[in-house]
Amino acid sequence: MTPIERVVVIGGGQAAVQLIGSLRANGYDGKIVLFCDEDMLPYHRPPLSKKFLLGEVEQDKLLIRKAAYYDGHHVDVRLSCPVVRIDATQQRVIDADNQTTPYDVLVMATGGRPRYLPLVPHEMTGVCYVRSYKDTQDLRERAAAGARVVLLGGGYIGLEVAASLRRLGCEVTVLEMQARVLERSAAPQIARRLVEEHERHGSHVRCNLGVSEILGDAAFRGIVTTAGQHIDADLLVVGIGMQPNSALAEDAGLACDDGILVDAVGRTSNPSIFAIGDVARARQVDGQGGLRLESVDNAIQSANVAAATIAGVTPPALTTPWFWSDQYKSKLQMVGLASSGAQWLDRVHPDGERMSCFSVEDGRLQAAQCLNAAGDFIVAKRLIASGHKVDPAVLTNPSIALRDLFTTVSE
Amino acid sequence: MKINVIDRSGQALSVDCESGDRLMDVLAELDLVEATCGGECSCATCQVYVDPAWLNRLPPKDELEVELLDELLNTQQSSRLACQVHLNDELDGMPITVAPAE
Repeated sequence: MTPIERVVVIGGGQAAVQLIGSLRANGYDGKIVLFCDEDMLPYHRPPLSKKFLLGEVEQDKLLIRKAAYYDGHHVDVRLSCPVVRIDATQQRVIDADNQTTPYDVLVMATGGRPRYLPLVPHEMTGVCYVRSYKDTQDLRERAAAGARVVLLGGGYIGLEVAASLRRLGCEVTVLEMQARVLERSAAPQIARRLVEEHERHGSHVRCNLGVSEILGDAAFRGIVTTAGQHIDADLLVVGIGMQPNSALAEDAGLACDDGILVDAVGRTSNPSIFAIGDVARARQVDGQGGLRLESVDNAIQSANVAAATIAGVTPPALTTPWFWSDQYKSKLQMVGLASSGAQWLDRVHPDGERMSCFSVEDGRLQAAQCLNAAGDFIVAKRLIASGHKVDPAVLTNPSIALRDLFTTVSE
Repeated sequence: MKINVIDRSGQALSVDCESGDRLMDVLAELDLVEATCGGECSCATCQVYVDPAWLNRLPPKDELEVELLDELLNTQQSSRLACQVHLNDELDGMPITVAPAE
């Protein structure tokens, strides 16, 4: 095999930064070129719907690593420099300045973009998305106290933005198409608790409802719901999911299916090209896999595995995926992936504030969702990783410590 | 100011930092901790052992930090989550050890 001397990375997010650090930590000492669409070094996106929107975190504090890190790691960073084409045959990329950069290995860490609402007329003001720091700056400028906001989409981003806007003094109405918020991702009991918290703070959460018409000409001024009701509003925030940025990969002939398809180490259908983070979808093997995970944890893990593979060392074993969401004072921590239609067991702590939900399969913990129960989360993570048998009676009894499951039920 | 760090491989480092920095950010910049959640007290991957003689110069742990540390297996009396530690001049020279990954 020819030695790898030039790694080109497209995309400036968490996965790209992790890949760089991991490549160097694994002894790769060739060139690294990082192409970023945005004008800012890679930054933390989770605060965009929370502390950055609230103005509690300055822009420079969003950076995942400071500029000196990239110098220290000998990374040639090209900001505001989108790649426009991949020439997979010649193994080179062509950027917006029409410069050509050759690669031995190319890593796609291109992430995603918000799913747009087709009903919204082009150039209408007062319609916001939240994916980049500029999106959040724009939203914060428009979200004056007292502004009436319709928030479309009861997913994590939508609910986090709803909580932040309410704290900024906006009047918030959340519309969710499904029968409940977080339909695909959270236990119903957890979702109900979160909705109660939003309503306690004075927001409205309405389910089974979408938008059938956008009101306004140059500026947004309201919607008509799918039930025919008019809602006057000053701002529309659309949080209806993201779409993977896979167009470059598709044009280059890589196998894609709602994301760039990759094997267990992140390799695409072209052996010189890897994909990591939000944009990558695990190829199905024997009916397993097929997932595309949008999370910081996945960005980090997939980057570490790809980096080790590129550097020629054994990749680390994957750990159970986990996620978190902060809304108002509530912290939701989730670990593991439950099967669809999973039954959830409740563990409600005596204070009534803290609750965990567990999904058990074949006597073993499959997934846990912990609301204001960080201790449960830490133990559940360990229970899932160990594959230890769990007794549902202990899981649901908050007077018995979860950690006792390691000693009370034998393997 | 500086802090004195022993990393997971046992290597001793003297690390430059500034008053006002968050300890987690200083360590993450050197790839010494994962800090997956970016400092939201969610992932508990930034645990450090603080030299016990310096512990009383740190602000007390809040409820969430206590709850996370209580359930980790590799904690010591002097454990802190680096995301909850903001550096100030009084902490100049503080010795810490990065806890092993759980």
